[in-house]
Amino acid sequence: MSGVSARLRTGHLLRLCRYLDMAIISMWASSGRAHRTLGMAQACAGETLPGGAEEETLGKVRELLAEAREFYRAGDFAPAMARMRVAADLCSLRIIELAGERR
Amino acid sequence: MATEAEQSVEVLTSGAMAGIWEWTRSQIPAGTRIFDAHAHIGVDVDGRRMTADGMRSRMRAAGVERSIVFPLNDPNAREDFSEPNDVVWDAYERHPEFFVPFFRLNPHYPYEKEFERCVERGFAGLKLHPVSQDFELDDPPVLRLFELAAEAQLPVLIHAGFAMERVVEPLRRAFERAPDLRLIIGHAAMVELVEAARAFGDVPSVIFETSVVSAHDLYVLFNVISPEKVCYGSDIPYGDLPSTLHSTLAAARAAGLSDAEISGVLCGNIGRWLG
Repeated sequence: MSGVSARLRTGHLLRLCRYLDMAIISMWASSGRAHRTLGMAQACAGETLPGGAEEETLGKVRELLAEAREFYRAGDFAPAMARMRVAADLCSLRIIELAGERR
Repeated sequence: MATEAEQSVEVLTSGAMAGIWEWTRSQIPAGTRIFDAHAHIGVDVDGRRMTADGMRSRMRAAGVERSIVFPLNDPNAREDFSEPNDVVWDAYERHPEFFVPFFRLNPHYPYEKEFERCVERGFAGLKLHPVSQDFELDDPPVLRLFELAAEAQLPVLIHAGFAMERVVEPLRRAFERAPDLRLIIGHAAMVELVEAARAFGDVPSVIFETSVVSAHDLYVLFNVISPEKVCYGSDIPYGDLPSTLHSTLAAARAAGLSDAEISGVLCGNIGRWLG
């Protein structure tokens, strides 16, 4: 454990989820700024928390976003969107996990 | 326009997706014969397309045994969707052991003749898309169509996902008119997921389908409804098998579903409806 609180971890992942959602919606809507919103998500994912907290999740998200951006740039929507969906799912389920309650 | 390469399973399971796919496969309970309850064959006005052979190759590569298939919002649909319905039927005849054919209609136009033709032909269900065909689920012609489907004991899969605002209230009216309606709620009612679970979670003839629903939505769904009321879908070519299987399995595991419950979501629950 890095000593970073669950609240801070959750707050940071919520930020990332928001930018991922913006990028996903932009891609779906074929917005001319989709590549920009993808870049915003990638920039947010590139940030690190103190002590390397949440690096396991963030590392996977970074790899997925980098490839998503390449596929999207090349016009390959499906593999780009698959990676965006998985990145968003990893983030949101990690937030649920941090909430500390299981069924 | 989507290319064959873009849709191939390889680009969806390599690179950063390789570990995701490996985890996803490891979470599929042994002996589960995956049944995809939501996929399209044909051409869409937005340029997306999927062939029968393309669908089969994706199913084979991802280990999916059967798929419900129906038309896209086809530019050649005219008023009755007969041409795209024929494309789906042709796909079914070429791969009868793998495809379960549903037909599609536009409630804005007279649909009785095409409905009868498709029922007589042996289609297994009906697909309706309120956003693409611009109707509400409680418009009078739609309620009449629900009655016809119930009389024919034909399951109806409705789009209840992206761009839908009203799902539960109009569906209550549908069940008042057609209590025996067998309904597959596509995309799990998305924005009204919790209310839909409350309204229809105990209705035996309703099942919630998961395609392109985010994992956190599915986590909520699995916590507010019996897993027996949920079935997996991909929404190919809008979704894909690896990422939609990942979201369903990740949410199911986070919600604490057992292997038996997950197997039901992936195949058994919809299998009980369609054999």
